[in-house]
Amino acid sequence: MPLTVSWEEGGSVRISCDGVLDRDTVPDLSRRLFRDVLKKRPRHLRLDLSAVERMDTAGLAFVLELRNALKSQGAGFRLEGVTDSIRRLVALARLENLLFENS
Amino acid sequence: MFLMNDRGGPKVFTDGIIEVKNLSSGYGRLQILHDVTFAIPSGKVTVIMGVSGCGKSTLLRHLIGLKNTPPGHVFVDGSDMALFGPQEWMTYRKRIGVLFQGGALFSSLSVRDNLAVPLRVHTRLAETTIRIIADIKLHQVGLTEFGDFMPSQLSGGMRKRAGLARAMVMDPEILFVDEPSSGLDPITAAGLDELLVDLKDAMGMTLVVVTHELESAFRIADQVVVLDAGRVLAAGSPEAVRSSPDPRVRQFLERRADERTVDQERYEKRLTGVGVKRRA
Repeated sequence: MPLTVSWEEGGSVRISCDGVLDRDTVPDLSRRLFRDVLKKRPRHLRLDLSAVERMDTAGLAFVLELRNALKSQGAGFRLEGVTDSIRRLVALARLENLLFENS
Repeated sequence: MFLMNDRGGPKVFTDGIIEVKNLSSGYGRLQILHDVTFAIPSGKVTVIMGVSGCGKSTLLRHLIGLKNTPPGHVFVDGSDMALFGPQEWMTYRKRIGVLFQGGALFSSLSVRDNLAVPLRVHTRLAETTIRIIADIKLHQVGLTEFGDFMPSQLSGGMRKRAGLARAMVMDPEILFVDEPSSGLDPITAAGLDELLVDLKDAMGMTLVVVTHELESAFRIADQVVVLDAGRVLAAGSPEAVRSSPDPRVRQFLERRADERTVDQERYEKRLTGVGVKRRA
C-alpha cells in the first residue's frame, strides 16, 4: 500500500494512505509505520485516509492500534479525510469516541 | 448464453453473486429439494424461509459446500461450484462466513480465541491487531465482557451471538446465517437483525439468512425466497411475497397450522394401521 510520510517542523508528522487498508495490507503497513515513524516519537500524527479506497475491520484495528501507541507515548493523533464509508465502518464498531475525539 | 470458465466448465451470465438452477437434492432415497431455482444478489439480504423440514438447511449446506452439488446447479460469480478444485474452494471459503444454528464454537477455546482462530490461520496480522478485531466483533454482538469466557459458560443465545461474531471476524463478502433468532429473546433478536442490516449497509456484505421467523425475515430482507416441501413457493421482494395471492404462501404468512391437520391425519392412520396389523 502506498504510504506518504511527511515530517513537519516541531516533530509532527502527516501520513497519507492510498489504496486498500485491509487484512492483507495491514501487516506490512503496521510494521513500516511502527519502525519508521513511532520509533522516532512524533509529537503529533495526522493520518489522512482520503485516498483509501477500501478498509475492513483489520484496517480499523490498525488505526486504533496506532492511536493507542501514540497516546501511550503522550503524542497527539488525528484522523483526516474520513470518507463516508470509513465513517460508517467506525460507527458500526462504535469507535467514534476514540477515533474522532480530535477530528 | 454460455462462456467457459478457467477450468473449462460452463460460465453463465448471472444477475446474482450465487445462482441456484434447477437444484434437486436429498439424502438417500428421500428427496428434499425439488428443482429449486433462484439467485442471491450481491450486497443484499436474501432470506430463505419456510416451515421446519422444508429444505432450508439442506439448501444452505449446498451453498456453503457442506453437501456435494452435481454439475450445473449452483454457480458462484458464474462459475460452477461442482467444478471447484481445492484452490477455488479455499478462495470461496475465505469469501464466506457461516453462523450455524448452535454457534459451532470450539469448546476448548475461550470465546476470544474462537474468534482469533480464522485470523491466525488465514492472515499475517499481529496478535495485538487480532485481539482488537476480536473485541470489536464481540462488542458488535453485545458480548464485550465475555471474551475470556469458555463457550460452556455462555447461555444458548450468547453462544449464538459469539458464533455470529466469529462468522464476521474475517469481514466475509458473503455471510450465511442459519436461524439467527432461534433461542434469543425478542429484544436481542431485534438487535441482531439490526446488526445484520448494518453489516450490509456499512460493508456492502451479501447476507443469506435462513429462518422460519416471519417478523425477523421481513424486517431485514431485500429479497425473500419461500420454500415449501423442498420447492420454491415464492421469490421476490418482501412486498411482492407479502401480496402473493398463492394460497400456500398466504397460509405460511398467516401461520395457519395446516401441518397439524396433516400430522393428525398421519397419526390417526398410523394408529389405525397398528390396530389392523395386530388384529390380522
